[in-house]
Amino acid sequence: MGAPTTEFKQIPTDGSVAAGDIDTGAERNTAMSTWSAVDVGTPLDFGSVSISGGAANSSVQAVAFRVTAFNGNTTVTNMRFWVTENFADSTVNWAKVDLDAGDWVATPTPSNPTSAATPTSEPGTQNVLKADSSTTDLTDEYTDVSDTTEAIVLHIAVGASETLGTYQGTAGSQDLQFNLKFDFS
Amino acid sequence: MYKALILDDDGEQREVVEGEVTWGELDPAKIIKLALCNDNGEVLAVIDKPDPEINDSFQEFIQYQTAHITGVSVANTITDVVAQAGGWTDGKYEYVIVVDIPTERLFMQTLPRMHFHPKSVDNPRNQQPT
Repeated sequence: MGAPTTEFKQIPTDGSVAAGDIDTGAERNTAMSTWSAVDVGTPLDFGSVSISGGAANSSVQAVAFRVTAFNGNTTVTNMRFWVTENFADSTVNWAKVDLDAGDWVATPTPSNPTSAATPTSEPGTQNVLKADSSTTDLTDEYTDVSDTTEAIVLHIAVGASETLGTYQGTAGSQDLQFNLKFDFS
Repeated sequence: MYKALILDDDGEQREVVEGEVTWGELDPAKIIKLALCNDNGEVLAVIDKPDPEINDSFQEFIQYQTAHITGVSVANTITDVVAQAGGWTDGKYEYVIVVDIPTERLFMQTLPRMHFHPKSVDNPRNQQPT
């Protein structure tokens, strides 16, 4: 069996998606099909941040992950999320949002939902759950497609002493990318 | 890649190779030996089902692989498989041998129980509400 086929999709943070729009798996299954993929052509764009006046926050972006084809497997579990970056004075912050509970914030800000520093190395234990923020596994729920994970809401708190440059994957002048490891069987 | 020695319904031993089987369709109690292989099918480690006369708590088979996806370069593709693991569980912990695929390095891990064969009686999805 091959690995599952998966995707990250960008959840719009412009107010166009209300909590009630994505608080069921069926709604998320439909919505994910309309959202932009996060890939080489459409990276998660945190915008430009000016620190001429001191520390500043980037825009707030959000993603969700799901399995789009299990390829003979039945379960994806033990999802571990972290970022790799070479910031000198900045932190990537994250918040995980229980979508089933209707906790999605249509226009998230650096302070809402409450965030914390994202791990910068591979965590030793699972740190991302299914959309209900309690189930550990993703399984085939929509004709070989899983429900999504929790929403992962990210922003960058850019320090006043940060090195100027373009932080983008491994293609920019500086490195910035997020990672997910998962087990499947 | 995995190879496994299983007991057929008639009790005969039969070797199966990944790609020829869907793991979820195999009775975990009938898997008696698991081999972790590299991409060429060369066996890197063999894990026998523990002898129940020595310790009858190790009854459930564990098998999983680990994939790594980054948010910039490989989203929406088949992900990179970076490790595979096999072993047995006593229901509380998993005792597995892991192969780091890029380096073919082998190591043992003891983890809290988190992987469940689809037919495991311990699988939360198989448990009836009380």
